[in-house]
Amino acid sequence: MLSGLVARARSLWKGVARPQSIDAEMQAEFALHIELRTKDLIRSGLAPDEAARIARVEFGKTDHRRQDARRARGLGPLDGLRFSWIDLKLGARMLVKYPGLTIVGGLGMAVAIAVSTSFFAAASALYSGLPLDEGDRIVSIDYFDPRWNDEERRIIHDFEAWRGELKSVTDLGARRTVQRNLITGDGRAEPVSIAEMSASGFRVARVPAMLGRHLLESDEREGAPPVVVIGHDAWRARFGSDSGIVGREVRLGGTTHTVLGVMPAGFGFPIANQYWAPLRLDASDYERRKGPAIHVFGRLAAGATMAQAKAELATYTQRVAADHPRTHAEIRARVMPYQDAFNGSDEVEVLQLLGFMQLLIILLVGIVCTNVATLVYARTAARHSEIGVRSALGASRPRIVAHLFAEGLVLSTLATAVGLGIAGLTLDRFNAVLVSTNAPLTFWMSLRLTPSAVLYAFALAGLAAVIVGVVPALKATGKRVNASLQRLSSGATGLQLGGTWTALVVAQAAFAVAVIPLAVHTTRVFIGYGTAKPGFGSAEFLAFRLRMDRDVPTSAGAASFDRDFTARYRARERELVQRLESEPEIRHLIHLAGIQGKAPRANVEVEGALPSVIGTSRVDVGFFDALDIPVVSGRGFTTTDAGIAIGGEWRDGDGDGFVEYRAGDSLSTSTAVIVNRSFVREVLGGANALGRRLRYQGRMDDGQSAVQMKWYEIVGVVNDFPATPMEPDAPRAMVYHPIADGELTDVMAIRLSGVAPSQFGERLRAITATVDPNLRVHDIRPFDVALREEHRAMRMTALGIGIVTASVLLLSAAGIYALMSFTVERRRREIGIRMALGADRARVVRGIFARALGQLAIGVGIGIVLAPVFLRLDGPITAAKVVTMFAVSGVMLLVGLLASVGPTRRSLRIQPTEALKEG
Amino acid sequence: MPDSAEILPGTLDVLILKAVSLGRLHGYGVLLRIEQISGGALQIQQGALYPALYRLEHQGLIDSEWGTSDNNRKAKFYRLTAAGRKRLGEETASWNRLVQAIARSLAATPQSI
Repeated sequence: MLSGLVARARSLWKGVARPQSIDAEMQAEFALHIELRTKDLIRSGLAPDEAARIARVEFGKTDHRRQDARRARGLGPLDGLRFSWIDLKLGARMLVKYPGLTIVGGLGMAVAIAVSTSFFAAASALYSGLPLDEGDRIVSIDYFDPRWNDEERRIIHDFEAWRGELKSVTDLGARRTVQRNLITGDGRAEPVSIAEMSASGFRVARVPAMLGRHLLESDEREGAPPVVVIGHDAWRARFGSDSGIVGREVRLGGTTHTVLGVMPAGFGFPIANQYWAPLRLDASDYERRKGPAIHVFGRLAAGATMAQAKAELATYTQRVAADHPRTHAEIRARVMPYQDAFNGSDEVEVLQLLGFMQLLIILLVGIVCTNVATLVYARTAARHSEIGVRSALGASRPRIVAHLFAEGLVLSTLATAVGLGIAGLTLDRFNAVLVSTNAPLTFWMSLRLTPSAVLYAFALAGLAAVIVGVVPALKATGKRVNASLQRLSSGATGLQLGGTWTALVVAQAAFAVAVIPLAVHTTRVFIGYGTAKPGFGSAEFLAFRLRMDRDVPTSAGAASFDRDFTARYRARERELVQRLESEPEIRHLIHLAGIQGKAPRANVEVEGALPSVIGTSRVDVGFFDALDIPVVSGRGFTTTDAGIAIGGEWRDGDGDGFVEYRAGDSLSTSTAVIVNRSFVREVLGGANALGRRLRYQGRMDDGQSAVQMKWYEIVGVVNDFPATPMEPDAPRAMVYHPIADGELTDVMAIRLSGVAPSQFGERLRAITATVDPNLRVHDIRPFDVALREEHRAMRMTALGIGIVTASVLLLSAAGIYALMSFTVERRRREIGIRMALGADRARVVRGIFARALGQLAIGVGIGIVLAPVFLRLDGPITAAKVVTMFAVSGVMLLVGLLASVGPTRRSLRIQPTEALKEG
Repeated sequence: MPDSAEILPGTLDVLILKAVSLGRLHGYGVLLRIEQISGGALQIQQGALYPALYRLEHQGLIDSEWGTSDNNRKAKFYRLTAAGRKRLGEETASWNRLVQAIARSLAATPQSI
């Protein structure tokens, strides 16, 4: 059985690898046979000539024998399909001969393959394994709360219990991430992210330190000296690859730490970390499901399986739920491969979504290729006589199909090469964005074109070649080849298009009109986000976020913790503001309610005017002054308008270290607001604004709620700011409220003079660290850079959608052009005869165009009916969307008309005799 | 040729196996050997020979190598492989069973029923 298979494979391989020598052997064998037979016949008394003739006749045609023999060797199918370099060379020649098809089709396929491959690379990065020794045995353990569909990470008590009793998982450890200022001897301060991790984490990873040592259990003990381990990248960038680093002291926030060691390059366990400090937590400080959020990990014990670990945790869940029903009745413990805690594959929906998206993207490739196939078919039809001749000269159908497949393959390979280039660039850009937004991927994921992604792309190229080359070829070499051959002498194109093509024209137009407007609209919206100009001297501004180190409150101290922390923060912030205001380079310091310039929308009712949708924003009292926004009438804000903030607090709701500020109230009797010029124009119809009163209807976006809102009075009007809206659909009319004195906003900005903002960042951090080493400055960026980066992802998305849309539009237009010109071309003979019979020229032309337009109009009509379904996916239908839809419809109709013009003119000029001959 | 018989479909392969089991042969030699061992009763269509040879070689039942023929010509010689020998045994047994069954059937008389 097996030896038979081996023999077959060997013989096939011989046939494929050395076809010439196989043929030569057969020829020699046949020649010997005929020669020996001839000799036998001569011996039996025949004359030599006669003997040779009879021997040859008996043997039959050697060519036939050879083909029979090749079939016997299992080479039959290969003979049918065999294509050589010449096919590929001819394919390349076709690319040059039909540049329009090459560019349009190739570009469309390149974009589709780029999108598909980028997605594949990103998805496989998400699912790449841990590059650690037996990384597949490292696990994450957490609690899941099905009611909120969320993890519960305040599990310090459970962690200690697991450490004591789990048999199937060893080296259990926990980690959390904290932000601290890294302050070196030269006074430089820089916030860094630190993994506070159990020493067992290094045992789990099984990676030794490059210099010194990593954390040990002894470092975790209460009272042990503070220590830190640093990563290779940080060692190189921050410490100049200092080989004497071990034993040196660095400050992290207010505490001095001794450097224990340096980890080797590429090591980033548990996520993408460069600083590690021991995790020192005592469960007795916290109640159950209170305290800091931690992530638990471990390694499957030798011989233990994932199933055993799951069973053990299920037993634990049941017991704890019974012991502590109040806190643990509803949640269940889970164990999963370590990286699954990061890629969401523990959730079935995520996998389904990824699979679904991959399917959609392959569908995109399919649609694009079908479009290209349409173009190729139109071309194949034009080459029909060539195919007929080849067929008559003995080319079998598989041979012709193979030839056309080779042409498709050349085109799709070229497109794949371009597509891989685009995908590589896209992934690079995406990496850069992730790094710049402080959200690098985990240390085991990398966004790049892996060999498997390249392989995937070429598999798509194969699929594309089949759709683009084989499908039209099969249709073009169908039964009608012979029929058309008979008519070949008259030079007519014999290929019939019929209902298929009418359907294709209709579908093509319908698809374009239905889907493209949404894509165009989306691109426009994203481009709007990405290209808004702040409209003031934003380059002089430096924006930053201020944060203060914060411990996790023990249960005993939780009640007053947020209040005390906020009071301390407020005092420190005030001190910092005073220090900064005394710096000569700082002209203004303002608080901002956010960086991205997004304004919450609200319904506002102005006395004596209809309710309107407007944008609202809260600004510092000195805001307009600092930004040089002139108050065109009335006055600006005063500190009396702003009042004093009361009751706001920093909070950390789920113990994960991410604090947010909950605004309180303002102690002020002032009701002053300022509006912009657009407000005066759009809401008040240009009438005088000063002294007019307005109130909000219902709920405001910022969470204030009252059934009856209070009245505000307009005290001033300012120029529009920013000059172009940051959101394309945002209302231009704005109402500004003052930020209360002492309110802790998310962002601050300083306006500098005499120094470039990019050079002031380090100094800002140094000043802040001298006020309090626990006070950290994050995201320092010149305001214009900050604005640009806020919208970088948007711009990239816009570019992506734009390119895909443009290529689809181009392909659709090209497809319709090819189909229309082809269908009109087909009627040449009919038109010629009608003209010869004296038909009215105008009527003939009208007839052609009516039929062409009729098909297109049906398609466009279907598209217009379907388009709203798609357009509604992205909010209500606006006038702009409708305009886009009609514009696309217009383009399709125009392209169809243009495509009909050329062939119509040629048909009208045809001589009656020629027309008749074409029969 | 009054005394020659048509070869039953499917039996050419086993005849070739038998022929080369008696010693290595080139293609024309196989033809002669079958005629010889069948006492001239079986004649092979020359066109059918080579596809059958290649098929058997493809299946690994026979093996080939280039050598020199009796009259000093370069020729491709075929010989039986182990798998071919096994197959020949099976086919021979199966053939004998068939022949016996048919012979018994044809020898049947009204008395023997």
